[in-house]
Amino acid sequence: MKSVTTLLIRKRTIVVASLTLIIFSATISVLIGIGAAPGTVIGNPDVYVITSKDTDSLLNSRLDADLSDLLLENGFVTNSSPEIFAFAEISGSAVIIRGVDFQAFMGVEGARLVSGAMPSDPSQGLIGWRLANRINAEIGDRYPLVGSFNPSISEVEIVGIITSSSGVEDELIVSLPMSRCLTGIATDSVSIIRVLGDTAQLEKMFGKDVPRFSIYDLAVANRILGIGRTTEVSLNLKNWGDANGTTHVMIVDMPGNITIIDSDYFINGSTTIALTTNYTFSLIGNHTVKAYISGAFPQNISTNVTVKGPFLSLVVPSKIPQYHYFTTVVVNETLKAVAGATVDIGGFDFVTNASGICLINASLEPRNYTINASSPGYESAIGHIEIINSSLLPPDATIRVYDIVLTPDVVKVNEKCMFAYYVQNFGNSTGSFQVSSYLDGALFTQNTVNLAPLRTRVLFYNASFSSAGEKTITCGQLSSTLTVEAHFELNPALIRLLVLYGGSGTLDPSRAELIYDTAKISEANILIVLVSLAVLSGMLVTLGVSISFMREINDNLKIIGILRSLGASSKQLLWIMFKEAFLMSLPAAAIGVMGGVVLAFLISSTGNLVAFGHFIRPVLDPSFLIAATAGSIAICVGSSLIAGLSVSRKGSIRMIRGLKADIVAQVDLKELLGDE
Amino acid sequence: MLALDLFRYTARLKVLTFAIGVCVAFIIGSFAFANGLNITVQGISDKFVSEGALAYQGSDLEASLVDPSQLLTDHIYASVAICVASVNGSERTFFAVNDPLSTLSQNLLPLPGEMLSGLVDPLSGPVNLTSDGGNVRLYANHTYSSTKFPAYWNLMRWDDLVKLRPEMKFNVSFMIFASSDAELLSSLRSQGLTAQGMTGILSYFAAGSNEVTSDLWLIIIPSSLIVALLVYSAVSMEVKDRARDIAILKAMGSNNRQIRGVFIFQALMLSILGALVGILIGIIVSYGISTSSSTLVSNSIFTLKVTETSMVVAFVSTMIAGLLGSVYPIYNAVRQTVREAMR
Repeated sequence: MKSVTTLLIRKRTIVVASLTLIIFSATISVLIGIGAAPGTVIGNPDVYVITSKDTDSLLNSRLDADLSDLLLENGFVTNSSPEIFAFAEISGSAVIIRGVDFQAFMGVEGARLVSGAMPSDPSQGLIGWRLANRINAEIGDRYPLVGSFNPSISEVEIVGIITSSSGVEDELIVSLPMSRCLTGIATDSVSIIRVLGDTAQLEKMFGKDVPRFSIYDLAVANRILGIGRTTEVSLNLKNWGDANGTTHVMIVDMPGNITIIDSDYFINGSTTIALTTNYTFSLIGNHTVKAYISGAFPQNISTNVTVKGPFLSLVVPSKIPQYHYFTTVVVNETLKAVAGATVDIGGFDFVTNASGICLINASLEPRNYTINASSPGYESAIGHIEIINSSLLPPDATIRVYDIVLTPDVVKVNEKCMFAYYVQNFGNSTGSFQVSSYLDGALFTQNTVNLAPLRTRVLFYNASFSSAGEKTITCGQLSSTLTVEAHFELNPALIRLLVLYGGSGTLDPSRAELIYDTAKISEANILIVLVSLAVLSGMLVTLGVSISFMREINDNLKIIGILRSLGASSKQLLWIMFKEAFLMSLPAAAIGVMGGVVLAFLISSTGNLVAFGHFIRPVLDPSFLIAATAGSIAICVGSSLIAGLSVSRKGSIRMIRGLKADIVAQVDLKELLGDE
Repeated sequence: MLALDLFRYTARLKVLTFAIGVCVAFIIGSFAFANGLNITVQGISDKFVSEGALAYQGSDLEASLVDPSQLLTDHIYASVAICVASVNGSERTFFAVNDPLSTLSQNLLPLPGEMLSGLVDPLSGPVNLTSDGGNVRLYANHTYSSTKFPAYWNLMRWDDLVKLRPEMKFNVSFMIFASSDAELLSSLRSQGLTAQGMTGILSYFAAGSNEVTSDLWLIIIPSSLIVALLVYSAVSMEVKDRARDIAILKAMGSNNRQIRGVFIFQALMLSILGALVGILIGIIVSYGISTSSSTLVSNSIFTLKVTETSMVVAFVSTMIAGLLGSVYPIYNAVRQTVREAMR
């Protein structure tokens, strides 16, 4: 068999097979490079890229610029670079413009300044060395730039040339303000954020197809309430992942560790549910209501509640003329009238009627007095009144708000606050008055009151707020401030990150749809085309190698004929040829892969393979080696099989005589040999 | 010459035709990819309306000087002058706009004695501006906002800018035209100006498509090399198999030119057949890829397109490769003597 191996297919076929396999390997490398080209925008492969949700392209992604800073506040991110993409044509080349914060960009990209300096003002920029070579750019050159999507004008001065291990070498790097001018992207948005850090943690937070949960807006309807009173406790639970999932939620009342909620909740992806329950506080004192969630991002948030025993509230006018009657109203913590309560003013006691009211004659000397209301079983309440000289009483109705009381004056998001406006008619005539209050300058409440002389009324309103911050309530000349706190006290950066940005960036509709179309062409479509081209290339090379084997077979047809006449079966001939062709093609495959690497490197070194502004870098990584080696071996097997099959079907006589099948077909061999 | 049966070895002919056909299909498919990309990009580009044109002198705006009195155009435009001036030791870009016909649809004229800062790092209070051309003192109490100019540029009146850059009295840095069409751009360029549309992504797409098309020319080189190898192998086998025929023809008085003509004709016919089959395969494969792409990818807008140009390119490159591949075996065929061939 060994002698046969050296006889049939000469070593020169290795040359032809190697040449075709070199072309195949280099083609595969380039095709993988074309497929990877869109990804080069990502830059350094170590970075984690955050885009807005449901965005298939880096181009139409819009993120809050604040997210970058927020990410840095969390321990698992070391560098964060907010970036904006713009597009231009310079000297006939398509150029991708990347707007960046230069220092952050260099940190994330790991880019190095080859020459020049870092930009010091927004009109300056950096250029990748490969792009600089392509358009013959030098430090100090200025390039006018027009807006990518809308008309605008800018000009960049190149102050530095950079090198990097990524597609950034083909880009023009400008300041964020310049890129905003070129794209029209608002000052609070960026296209993408690239970060360096704990990729596993980032993937948990931003990756697709993972359910992720966060809790927020834990609210108890009343921050101050009487013992035994039932109030509403609510919590929002959000699954900001794309996949459905279940999580366990606990809400407990401390002290006492009394469970309010302890359940599993199933939530669809990208959905928020509100958990609401009624709860009765049974202990007097300061309570902390805590909500817990387990999972990849365990969180706990809390809010405080003050539970009092039964207590009284007292409504009294602020001023009253001497010798005039005034009323006080005594209510309990549920605003219900308390009958039989004792109201003490200047040492004189009065008792409330069934409506909680007592009528008092201001016969005391003009000055300020403290009024004390008490009733058995209740915490007493105090109020203040000023008795003034009767001559100061205006004859007309003089109605105004004399106090605003917020209970409590610090709440959390979605928690209720009670607004009490104390209104009094300070004049000696009945009149009506429109009480209007304003929240941060906008009309908040409006009500008309009719008041008899010296009468007082309290207007109550309840409100809650969905956003945190200081709220200023103004009514007449009075104003008061309500503090609405976010639920971010515990691990605030993480919870803000989860609630505000967890997989839920917003999409700027401006021109986004058109760019989205562009993105479509760079995905699965291109993959299908590239795979098809790779298959065609493989077929091409298989046929090329097969033809070279068949040429050898053609040259040695007589030897094969002799083998056949000596008794070799078709199967044996197929095996002999297959083995010989395969053994011959294996070194060709090795040479082909290595030569392919060299050829791909040569193509790479020319720098001429560019698509849409990015150099198509032939891929020479393990994926290429696996694809090229597997493809080459498959080609070897295929072409060897074709060679073997072509031999096994030939007859011995026609091979020995050197006649071809077409000729032999014209001669009835059986008849010629007298077989019949 | 006719004594040689051109396609006597039909099995070999079929294999070689198919092989060359696959090569041609590879070329056709690659160009269909590029064409599809161009068509898709063109379709997207058509949705963008190029709004306005920019014209300036030379290669950068800061050094550009255009004398508008020398400009021949009927199109309306706004003139802009820019200069770099020093403010409190740092250099900033200032610009002034002359827009009597409201081309920019925005009033960009500060009050006398005032300048308007951009939103990035705005100036405030009285500022002394100095440049090589002179100096001016202005009050910077307000900011301007415009989508057309960078937020770090500062706006001033034209007469104030002339104090810093006297040559701007009769010149402008650049002009912004209200519309952009090929005729206008061509006219501006013919007058020695650099002119371009003001929607960058259009020119980006155009340049990008050209780059991809250029890249795909590289596909022709390896494909053609394989075609040449195939034809080389085919003609070599023919020469060997027909050695006796050649000897007989020579013995009958045929000269080398006639022998050469037979094999060149055969190589050409083989290449033509292969190219035709390849074009057919290429069209079918491209259609198949487009269809499978549409099936596999939702909302696919990408379609492979086989154009006449790509067919001609594939055909011609196959012909050339076929002829080149047949040179050496034909040389061997005509070189051998009758005696050698008969042996």
